[in-house]
Amino acid sequence: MDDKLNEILIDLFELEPGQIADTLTAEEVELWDSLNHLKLVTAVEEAFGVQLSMEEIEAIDSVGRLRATLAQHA
Amino acid sequence: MTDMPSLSAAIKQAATLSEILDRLKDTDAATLPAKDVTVIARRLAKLGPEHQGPSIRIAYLANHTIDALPDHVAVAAAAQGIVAAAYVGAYNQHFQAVLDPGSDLADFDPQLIFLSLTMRELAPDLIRGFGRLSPADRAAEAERIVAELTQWAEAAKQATGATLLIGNFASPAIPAAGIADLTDRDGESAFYAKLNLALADAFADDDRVYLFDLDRITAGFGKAGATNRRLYYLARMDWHERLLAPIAQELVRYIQPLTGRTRKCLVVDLDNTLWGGVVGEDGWDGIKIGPESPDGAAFADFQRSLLALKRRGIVLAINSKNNYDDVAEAFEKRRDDMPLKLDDFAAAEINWDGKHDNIARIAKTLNIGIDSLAFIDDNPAECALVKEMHPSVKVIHFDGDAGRFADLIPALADFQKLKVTAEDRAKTEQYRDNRARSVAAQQAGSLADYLAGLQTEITIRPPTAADAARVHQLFNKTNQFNLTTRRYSPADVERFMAGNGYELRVIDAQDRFGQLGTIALTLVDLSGAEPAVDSFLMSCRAMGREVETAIMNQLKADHLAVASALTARFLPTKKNKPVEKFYDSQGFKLVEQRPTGEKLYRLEADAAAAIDCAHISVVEED
Repeated sequence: MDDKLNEILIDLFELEPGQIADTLTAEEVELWDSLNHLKLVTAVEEAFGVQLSMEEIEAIDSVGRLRATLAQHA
Repeated sequence: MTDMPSLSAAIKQAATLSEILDRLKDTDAATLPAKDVTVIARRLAKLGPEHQGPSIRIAYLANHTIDALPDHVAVAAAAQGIVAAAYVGAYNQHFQAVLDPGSDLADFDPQLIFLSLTMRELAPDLIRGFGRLSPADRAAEAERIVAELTQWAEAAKQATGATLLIGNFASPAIPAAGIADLTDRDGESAFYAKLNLALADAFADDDRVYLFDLDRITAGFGKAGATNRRLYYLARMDWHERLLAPIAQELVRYIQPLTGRTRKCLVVDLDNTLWGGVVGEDGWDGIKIGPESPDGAAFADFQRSLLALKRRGIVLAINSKNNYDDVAEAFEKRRDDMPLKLDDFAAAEINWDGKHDNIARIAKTLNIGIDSLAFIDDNPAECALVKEMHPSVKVIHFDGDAGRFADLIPALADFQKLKVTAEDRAKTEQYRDNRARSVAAQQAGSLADYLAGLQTEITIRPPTAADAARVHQLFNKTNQFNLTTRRYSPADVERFMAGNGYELRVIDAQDRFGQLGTIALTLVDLSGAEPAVDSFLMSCRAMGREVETAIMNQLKADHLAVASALTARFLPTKKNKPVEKFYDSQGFKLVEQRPTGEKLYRLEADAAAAIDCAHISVVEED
């Protein structure tokens, strides 16, 4: 899962692989705005075949939180 | 199975825009992962401004969150070789955007405005409590919506030069009254049908406003899933993320004709494409076509889809490795089984030459650019050869599933027209008359005899409202006989027709073989000290008979009677080399030649003389 998720984060937010860490928050990422947040949700739902609840979508505010949420669906 | 290297990875590494467009050519954007659409669209937006080829600026206005759509449109347009730049208006401010002259929208100067209003915002009562409303209330709501959209369209037309594309309204997947809805004449299904019909009616005659059939697109996608409710409640996204690709594809069907990229001719292979089997081996009675076999029925439907293209004004041509007599016999003896007749084709190359050579010949016979052809064939090797030899030809590989292709043909963006004119419907006949003309040319002794024998008559007249669509088409599709190749929008055409310092004339032609239709136009700019020819262009089917000289004689007579000189220019393109010496041949003096190849001309009234072309009779109407 990690590789696929990292690729999505790198592509959507134009990050360097070294920047990706669970501690990285939405606030610290320039491109992580509300529209790209939904693109992120759409992309991970499609890539992992899951459906996140509205509550979960709203609560994801960091890479770690996203990873944990996906793990719960796995 | 190994993973294909991802398209987005390849595109990230591509250095130039043309490399990216090459990679994307004919990609089905609907099959790309969501993230790749974003990545590719970003690259296109970054490199787009340096693009020399076809492009369009699109403004998106909506009362729902439409921000995710432009990426999909950019990718779908790029797959057709067109770069689409986007501007997204503020949420629910479509009126402000067009009424404020200092708005960002005005700065963006859109060529196309796409307006999509969701009923959830526009008339929430209709969504939340349709059953509570009386029939009178419902009718009043429909009227208000039509009035609001009509007013918006008027304001947008005044404020911008853009063509407008307005989404209609999707009837609900399940009406609130359930299955009883259709028993109510004022029910929900009836309401949406009537509303959409009223909108279509309101804009049917307007050459700058078109309806976008969201009702049909969402139905095709599946209305029950057309909204992803989670994204709607979270962010007012009315459209499911997977609905964006089909909406983008429909938009490209408008973008293609708006950028003058509609192809003019579909070239078809015969054996195992137009019918099942090989006529040279199976015989005329062995090929599968017609209702008697399942395959034959599918091929007949495929042929009908080509006939429908012909009715749009797309001409058909044959490119087949066969003996001509075998083919003619099949068309003749199976005529009751075959929807298409040999007569439906404007050109036919039936021989044993290379298909790529035949393609070039067809373009030459029809006198159209090779880039306005598409070619369909079941043989992958032939497809690859034509692709290789003529990269500008759209090559469609026919996979043998004729029934599926019958559905696919009408959807192709390459063959869309904003409107189908009377000209379009008679196109094949015109090309066929042209063939009769060239046979007559071979029989006539001298060129002069031939031209005289044609009995060409032209009428030069101011355009009427009915000509607007044809005028737009001539401006945007004429490549060879076009002195300046200035592409004008429907809004520009409207402006020229109203005058505003311009004199626009259209020219109809006929000869002893029939009508050629409206074949040329001239646009003279009267705003300067001396009249200047802004555009002088003629459809290729009228070339080679000196019609241009007759038109120019009239232009000289009209303008030099009142002005001391007439100026003109030639702007070179890849396609208009045949007319680079046109003004010289008409007695104009070259006054300046620029490094770009642009040439400026001038004709003094004293020096002007009509050039003899007595074989053409001219009627001038005011």
